[in-house]
Amino acid sequence: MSPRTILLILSLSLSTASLGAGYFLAGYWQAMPALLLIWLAWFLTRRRSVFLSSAIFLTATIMLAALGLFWHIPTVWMLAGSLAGLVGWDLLNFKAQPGSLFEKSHLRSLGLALLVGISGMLAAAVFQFQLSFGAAVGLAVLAAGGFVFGIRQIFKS
Amino acid sequence: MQLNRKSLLLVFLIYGLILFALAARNGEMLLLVIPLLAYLIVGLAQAPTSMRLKATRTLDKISALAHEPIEVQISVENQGNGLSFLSVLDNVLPLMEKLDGETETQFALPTGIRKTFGYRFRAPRSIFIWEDVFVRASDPLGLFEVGTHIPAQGEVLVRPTSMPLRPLTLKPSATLHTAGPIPARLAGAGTDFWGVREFRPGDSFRWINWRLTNRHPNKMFTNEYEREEMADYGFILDARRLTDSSALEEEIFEVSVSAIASLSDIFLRTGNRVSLLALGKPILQVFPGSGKAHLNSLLVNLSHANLGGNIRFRNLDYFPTRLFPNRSLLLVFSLVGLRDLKAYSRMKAYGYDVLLVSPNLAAHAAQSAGDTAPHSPAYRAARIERTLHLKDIQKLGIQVIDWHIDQPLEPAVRKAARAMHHRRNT
Repeated sequence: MSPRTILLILSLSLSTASLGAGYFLAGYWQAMPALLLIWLAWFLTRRRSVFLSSAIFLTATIMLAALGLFWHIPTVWMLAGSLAGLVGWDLLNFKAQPGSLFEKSHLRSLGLALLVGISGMLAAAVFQFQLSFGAAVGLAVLAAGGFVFGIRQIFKS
Repeated sequence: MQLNRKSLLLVFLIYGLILFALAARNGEMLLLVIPLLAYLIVGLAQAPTSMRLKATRTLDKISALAHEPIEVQISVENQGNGLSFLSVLDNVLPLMEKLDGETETQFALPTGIRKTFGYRFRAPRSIFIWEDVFVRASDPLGLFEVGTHIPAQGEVLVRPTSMPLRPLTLKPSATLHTAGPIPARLAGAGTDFWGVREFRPGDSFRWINWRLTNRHPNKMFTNEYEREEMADYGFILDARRLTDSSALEEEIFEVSVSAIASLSDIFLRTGNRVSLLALGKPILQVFPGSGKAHLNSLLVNLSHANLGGNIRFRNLDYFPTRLFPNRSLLLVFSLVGLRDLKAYSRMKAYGYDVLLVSPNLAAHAAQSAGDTAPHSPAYRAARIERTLHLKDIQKLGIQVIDWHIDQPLEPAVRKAARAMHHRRNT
């Protein structure tokens, strides 16, 4: 088994375990079937399209993490779950010969992205910015526009 | 540079999370956006902006027989900045059947490095021309792409397969006054004995008939030999679609093309002139010529020939007479349509010798359909109709070969050649 496969299995397991542990410890054990459903959806769609199955996996993981934060489940579990989900999604979509230059540069970039992401999260947790109402509305409008644009682009591609 | 579906999914998730966080008025949710955003930014920072690549296509042969394996090698050299991910996609042209190897590959390509990949394919009779390959570079995370076509030209001619035919001679009633292989029924330089005449100044002493000269003391006699001249052969390939059974017609057409390729090869090798008219889609014309270059030209044209209807040539009436010199021997490969009789009579009126090689579609269809088909009324009616057509054509003085394509063509052509020879000498 190549190191990449081990990393993939670890990240997928860690993602599910973190989210599961967070929900379970907060008393939301009803969320367990949802985690099982993610795996089931991934398993059923992986033969049809790798992209589709991995996209379902990432979207569901991020949604569960967001819901967990909404229900005030400890942030660490949710962030760990979403980070591991991102790594798992990336590795599910990645195909290259083991030990190739391409694999090395990809893993290096993934490591860098994780480092930047974790640093950013820590910085955001430490320096909590307070946005004014106008800035929040502006951000909301921007987000809504971008969201619509994103959906259109997905359907176009 | 463009976003791919992977990066679009991330954009979708980021905006979805922002909207959800705003709706829920929960700032913690925005923390989830940060790793996704970092992932996008790292990809964007390493995204390629331009490429300077050079591609070379190498084919192991420039000409191959139908269904013969052909190897294609593509080399890509990076003459610009290093690319952490490059995908190269070659055009798989219609009719190509890949045997092994890859038509698409991915690798990292540092500056100044050349990488090669390849594949083997086989194909039926055709011409394959490549202009370029498509290359797509992206960042190491595969989020932002740059795609372009880079020139990588190549061409291979897939010739029709030849039939196994031994050398044969079809003797037309008239020949060109140029040295060739066909006995011209005229005295001149040759190898076959033709007759004896009185010696004339300038005659070679080696040709003197000493035995006859001995019997006539005051006279000398010279042997005469039959002059051997070049003949003109014209092929008419009837590529009109005449029936609804397209698969069978295609099969018969391919066999006819092979037969023409083989016969052209024989005629040109023995030093004759050959021309070609293919009445299909497209209409192909090869004016009379001889030699290896002309054979190649014929094969190139035959590689292009396809079945197809054409209204103007529908009844074989308007074939260009310039293509076939006067008194050529025309070899017509045709299934024989209902209204073709007029065209054949016109050919005869122009003074051509005509040999019609008519593949038997009805028999082939019956054979393909199974054991019971030959006794069916439909087949019997088709056979009777065909026989009547062929008899009408024969009445015009045209030699007809009723060719069952599952049987070799050579015996039938030899038989026709003997009949033509006999008729020529009587």
